Amino acid sequence: MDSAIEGLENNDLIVQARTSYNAFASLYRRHYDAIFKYCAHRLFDRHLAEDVTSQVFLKVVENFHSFEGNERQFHNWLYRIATNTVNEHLRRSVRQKTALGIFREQSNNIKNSTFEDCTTKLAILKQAILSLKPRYQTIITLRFFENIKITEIAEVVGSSPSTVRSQLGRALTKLRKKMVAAGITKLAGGVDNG
Amino acid sequence: MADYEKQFENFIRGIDLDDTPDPKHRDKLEQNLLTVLAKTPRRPNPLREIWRTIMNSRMTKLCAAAAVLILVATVGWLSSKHGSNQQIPSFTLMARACAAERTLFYDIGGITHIANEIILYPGPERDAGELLSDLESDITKEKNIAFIKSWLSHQWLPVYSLRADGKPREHRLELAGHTDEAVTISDLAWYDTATGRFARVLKTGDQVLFANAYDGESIYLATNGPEGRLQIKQELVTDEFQVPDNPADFLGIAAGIRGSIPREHFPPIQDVTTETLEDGTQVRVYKLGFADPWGKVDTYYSFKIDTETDIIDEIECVVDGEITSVHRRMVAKTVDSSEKSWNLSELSVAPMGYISARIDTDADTNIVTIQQMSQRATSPVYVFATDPSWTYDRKIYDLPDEMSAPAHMFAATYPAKDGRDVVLCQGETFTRYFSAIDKALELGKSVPWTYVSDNGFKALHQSDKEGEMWWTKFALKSSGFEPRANRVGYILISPANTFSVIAINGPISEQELQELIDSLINAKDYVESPD
Repeated sequence: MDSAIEGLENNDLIVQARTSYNAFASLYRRHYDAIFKYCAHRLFDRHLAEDVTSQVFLKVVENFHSFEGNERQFHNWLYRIATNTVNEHLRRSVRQKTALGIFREQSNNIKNSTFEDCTTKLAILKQAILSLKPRYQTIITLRFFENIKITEIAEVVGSSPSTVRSQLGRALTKLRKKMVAAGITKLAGGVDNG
Repeated sequence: MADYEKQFENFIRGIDLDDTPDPKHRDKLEQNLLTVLAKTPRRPNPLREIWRTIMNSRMTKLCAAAAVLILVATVGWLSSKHGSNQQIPSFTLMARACAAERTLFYDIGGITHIANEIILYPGPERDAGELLSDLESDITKEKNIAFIKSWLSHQWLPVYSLRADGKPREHRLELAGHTDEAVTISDLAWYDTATGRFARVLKTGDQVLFANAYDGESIYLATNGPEGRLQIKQELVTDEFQVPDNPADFLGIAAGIRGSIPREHFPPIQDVTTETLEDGTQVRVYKLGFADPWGKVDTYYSFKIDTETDIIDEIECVVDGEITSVHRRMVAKTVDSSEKSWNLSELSVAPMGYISARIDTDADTNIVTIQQMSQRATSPVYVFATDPSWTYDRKIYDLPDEMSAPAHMFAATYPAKDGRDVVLCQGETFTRYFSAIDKALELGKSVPWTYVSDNGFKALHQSDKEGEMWWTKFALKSSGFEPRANRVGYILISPANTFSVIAINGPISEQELQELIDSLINAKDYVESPD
């Protein structure tokens, strides 16, 4: 890879990527991990996440010519495409229902087991998050898994920061109820079995 | 950060997620992408740099433009049988009220202080995108109605500030609390009639949410910055700066509403009643709005105007039958000049809390060429190879399609000499919406196609039955045309199975319709051979 390209600032890289395959490849590599992780956190399945990540970047290739903006806007644009692609996948896939059913069963079976077991915690978390509506899933994932600021989440989901803050509050309330129902009554300093 | 947020963060840290990227997948995908990229024709655009400058804040501009269009369409549906009273046009009514409000500033003289109260009520929890997804998975009449209403509604209150060049800037004030309860905001303004100096501050309790001031040299703007903290910006005014002659245009109770809706899109007066306020003031209550697709006027502004002075006492905004905001006049008096500082940098920079005023740039529309439309479209888009013979001056508007981002929505408008204006709307949200309808109704079977063209288009005429023509009014009204009672609409399915809609503002013969549809051509093909 061209070392000059590797050294480019993101804003310059976006300009270069319009005419240079190497620059586009570099831009892709700078963002691949973040988008893959976001998809993995939304879908809780690395294979699905790889499929969806592929779709996301294909959309990016197809639409890159129409993108106008700086590095931050590109970053938000990527997350917006990823969010829509994940939502589209969840909507169209019957696997979500199947997955939810499996997680419910797992959850019911493990209520009496120790909550120190990571697999158990993961199953409950999956069940709780996947049962939220897609917008709440998006906001929770961006905020807590990707550590993205409220103002940037607002740009990704096309709302104001204040609305996102409000929806985050609602989403957490719902999540809390679902996790309590699944047996987790306390999160701070570990997890208790309710 | 709230306790539970921290707890949740800790909880997640303790979970081992399988989220390590696989370099093999990354490299393989990179090769695939580069192969696709190599096959994708480069689209050099000499206008790119110009566009970049113009569209510096394109999305926010378009969002604002779309919001205005949505506000217009909110309502969309001007229907004479629903008590429309056009004896006093609504825009004239507003202009008259603003002129009357000017007297509040100048009759009192010196430094005028005006205090208003804004109450914001929580809106519906679900947005149009979610409702559309819901509709796609399982369509019902109730879901259909909920989606359309959500699509056509807006949830924010426009607020205006003055920029350093003297031009107005639109902001949006919206509720953002963790609570579902209404929030009261004090809207305080001071205006010095002799010098034009002014200050406006929006507060909830002691907390400043928004402020704009002019101290004779600089413009100050205080809004929410990153992480919800108050951010104060000071700018020396430019040479062209001039304080508007009528302070009611930017400080007044109706300034935001008057400034955010184009004159030709102003909703009509549907009803006028009289009322006596608690302090004994007699007011006329004007209901400004459009009937919805089902004939109801449940999204509207209600203006309470003093019968003696013509000054607005209260504005109530109702969306889908629910009050979303009330803006009420409280005090108008003269104050001692020594009491007032015009310099906003004295404001305390405290966290903003629950409410914020979000900045959006001035509403603008984005007109594109056929070539630009074909480049930006994410699915096939079509144009008439030959513009309808009775029309002139085609314009294509590029609008954000937030529900299907990164897709765009396009509206090609053709004003007509004989009033039969034509609007062709297309975009992925249209395709998603009508595909859902198609899934349920099996278009073409339940109702036969009106016309199937040789170029692979199928057209379905929409009857005049109440509620079925809502989108034709949406399309025409949003494009600046006044929908006529004899307008017609067609849903089109393209050879690529995308949906679009044509609204024509008047009757069309069978031959005209067929010529119109026969001439539809993929925009990419048009660009390659426009003749």
